[in-house]
Amino acid sequence: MAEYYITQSKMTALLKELASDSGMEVFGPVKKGNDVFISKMDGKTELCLDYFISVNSIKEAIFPRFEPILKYKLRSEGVELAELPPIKPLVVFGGHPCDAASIPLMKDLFSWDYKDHFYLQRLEKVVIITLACVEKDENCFCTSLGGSPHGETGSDILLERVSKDGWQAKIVSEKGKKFIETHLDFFRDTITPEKGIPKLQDKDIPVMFQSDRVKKWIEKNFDHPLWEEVASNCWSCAACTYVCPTCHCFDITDDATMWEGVRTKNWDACTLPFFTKHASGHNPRSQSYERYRQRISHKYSYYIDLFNHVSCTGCGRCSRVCKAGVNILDIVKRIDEESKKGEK
Amino acid sequence: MQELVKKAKELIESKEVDLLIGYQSDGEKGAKPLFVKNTQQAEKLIFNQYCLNNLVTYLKRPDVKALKKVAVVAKGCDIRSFVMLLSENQVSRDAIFIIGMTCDHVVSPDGTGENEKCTTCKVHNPHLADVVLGAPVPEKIAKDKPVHYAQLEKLNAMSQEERWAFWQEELSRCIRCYACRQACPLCYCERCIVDFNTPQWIDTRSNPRGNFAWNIVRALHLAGRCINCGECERVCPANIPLMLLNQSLQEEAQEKFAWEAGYDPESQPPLTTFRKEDDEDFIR
Amino acid sequence: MSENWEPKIITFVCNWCTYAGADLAGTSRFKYASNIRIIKTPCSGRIDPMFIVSAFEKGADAVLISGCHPGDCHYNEGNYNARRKFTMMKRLLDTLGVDTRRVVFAWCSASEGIKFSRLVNEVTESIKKLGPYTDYHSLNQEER
Ligand code: SF4
Ligand code: SF4
Ligand code: SF4
Ligand code: SF4
Ligand code: SF4
Repeated sequence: MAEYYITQSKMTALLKELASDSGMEVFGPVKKGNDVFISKMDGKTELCLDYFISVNSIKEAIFPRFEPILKYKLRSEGVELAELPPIKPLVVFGGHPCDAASIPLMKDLFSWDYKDHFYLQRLEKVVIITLACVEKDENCFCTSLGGSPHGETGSDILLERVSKDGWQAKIVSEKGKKFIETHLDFFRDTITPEKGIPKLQDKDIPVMFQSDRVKKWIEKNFDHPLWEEVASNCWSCAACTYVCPTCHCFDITDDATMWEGVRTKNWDACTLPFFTKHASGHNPRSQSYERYRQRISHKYSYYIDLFNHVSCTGCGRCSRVCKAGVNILDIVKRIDEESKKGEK
Repeated sequence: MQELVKKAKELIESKEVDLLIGYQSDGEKGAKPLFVKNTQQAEKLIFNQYCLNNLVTYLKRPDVKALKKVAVVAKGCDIRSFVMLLSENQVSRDAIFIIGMTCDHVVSPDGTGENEKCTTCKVHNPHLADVVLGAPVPEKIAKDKPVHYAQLEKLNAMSQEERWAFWQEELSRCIRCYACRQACPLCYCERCIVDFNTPQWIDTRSNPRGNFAWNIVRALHLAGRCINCGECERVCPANIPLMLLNQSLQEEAQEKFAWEAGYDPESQPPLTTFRKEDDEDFIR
Repeated sequence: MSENWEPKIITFVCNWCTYAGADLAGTSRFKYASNIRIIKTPCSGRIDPMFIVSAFEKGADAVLISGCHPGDCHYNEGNYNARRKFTMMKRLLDTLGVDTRRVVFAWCSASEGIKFSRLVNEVTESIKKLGPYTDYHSLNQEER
């Protein structure tokens, strides 16, 4: 099979060209302060290619923060449905394998009991270009969940750094192949691999817990005092859930006047205080730690029952954004310890 | 911090408090909140320049409010938020034991250098506490000297159109996670205006309209109340410079109403009172 | 801007002074521009700053707010409290780059029918010069 390479400057040029096309949506890494965000680009967006990991995941490219799902007008003859904006082809550049690994998980969810054609259509039209990792931090734990710093799952193209200035492009899917063929001019250079380019191996990120053991403990310990101990400092925002590549809850809201309206799918999060509040005023998850317990239990237990996979890719984003100091890896490791103790 | 651990153990052992909220270390250059309920946990308590969290924010939580007495480790700036809670009748003084820490400065949120807020600090030495720990730190700014926020200058110098463009760009990253609200010691409403839907005042979509309205309302509800702890901005995952909004309103309160929040629990927050001779140049 | 564009000016007034003043302007046959949409509130103290935001969101080109003169409030202090709130709101809007020429505050008593009509005409004229508030209206995005 032919080998494909792309330089940083060509990648920037390609993304800018695509982003200038109004018939497409392009997402790429943009710097703000000390951090990088995967953001929607236009032809003028300044890309940042020198970063460890983006604050947000690639989730919002495919599962937008908000999305109209119904539009209507009231006429004297009755209700008239208005057309929804078309779902455009899109390119997402700049995630890591732990971003892309969320794609099959999200696909399972959105094609489960109800086929969410908004998500599924976008998924059909997206080309995901992933950067294999060259750096890690203490929050990374992809390997504990079957991932890898150079894993291909969910990507269409995987870029592996071979020189200071460029990547080798690995075709992962048919979509990826077609993308490279269409933009062959950008992938034509040959880059001689340089020495000393850092590359992460699986062993660089040791496996730190066993998820099946974690699940076992969660199933039996809903009321265990550990939950309160590890999550009492959670202050119940949605920072962790919104940057998470696999958190997928949404709310439906209506914005309407007497004559017209639009119904929107809108991100929501189980960590927010009002998520489970009943009309009666009762809230079955009235405390912060109860809500955080839900987040972990859903990911590490309930999700497995439904889809046979942990709903966490080990990207560590939630821990990085949480300024209350709630750290998912510490907590899951603690649970694993407890579970091990119980086994003996 | 022998002193702190000792005091904490005393408070826990004597059952004077049901819970103590303090800091534990989080890596080499970090600290995070610690909920202490027994003397063993108290061993982990620390205090240093990485202790950024304003722990007073936990006092607004229903489960913490339900306890008989709670101790909290607090720096001068954090205590300013406690003073506001007192003057707004949100806590009872008897239910809280303040362990005030003298404090020269904390690091900036990215872990380097002195935190911007510390350059305007007037309370290096806790102004209201049940016990003060740590060596006294010389105060650098007189209580009655108006505070000047250098970072506002750039914004104030922009044209109206430039400011509009600046904020639209910044706020486009707001994902409506409400971390700013949850971390703020003074955003204590049981039901925030953004969670009301009959009628719905704030568009809950993370679109330009919703993000603009949300950030207007959050800043406005802190007008005359914000004590410049900087938590909202620090916890914002989108790096939105929220303190520019808060500080411009602090500046306004200072200029128009000679008011700085969080020093005196007996004084009246400016939006709960008025003077007949208040400035009204902007009214026709 | 289309030839026959006319500004929409949402006007919040208190029941006791300005609304009566507007009434007087009407019964005295003082002419004033038909661009205002009056919304009556019990007191200027009832005018939540979010009314301004809401008006712009729904397509207003300007917002006019008016209550009793200081000292004349039917509830004694409503307008004094309002004055402080609006001081803060105005500063915040200014900080955020909102065109504060489009947010006008006034005092207008029940006997000032003339002042009311003049105020409305002046504000209408100035907003006509500024044009529609497209910046704010463009925030209404239904898709990302
Ligand atoms: S864990 Fe942290 S980021 Fe998540 S809801 Fe709690 S405080 Fe917010
Ligand atoms: S503002 Fe003052 S009390 Fe607060 S952290 Fe800085 S120096 Fe310490
Ligand atoms: S933004 Fe306003 S309504 Fe919401 S919690 Fe804060 S003060 Fe309360
Ligand atoms: S608005 Fe921000 S700086 Fe002000 S008190 Fe709240 S968290 Fe602190
Ligand atoms: S913390 Fe930042 S991103 Fe989250 S709601 Fe507040 S301003 Fe928006």
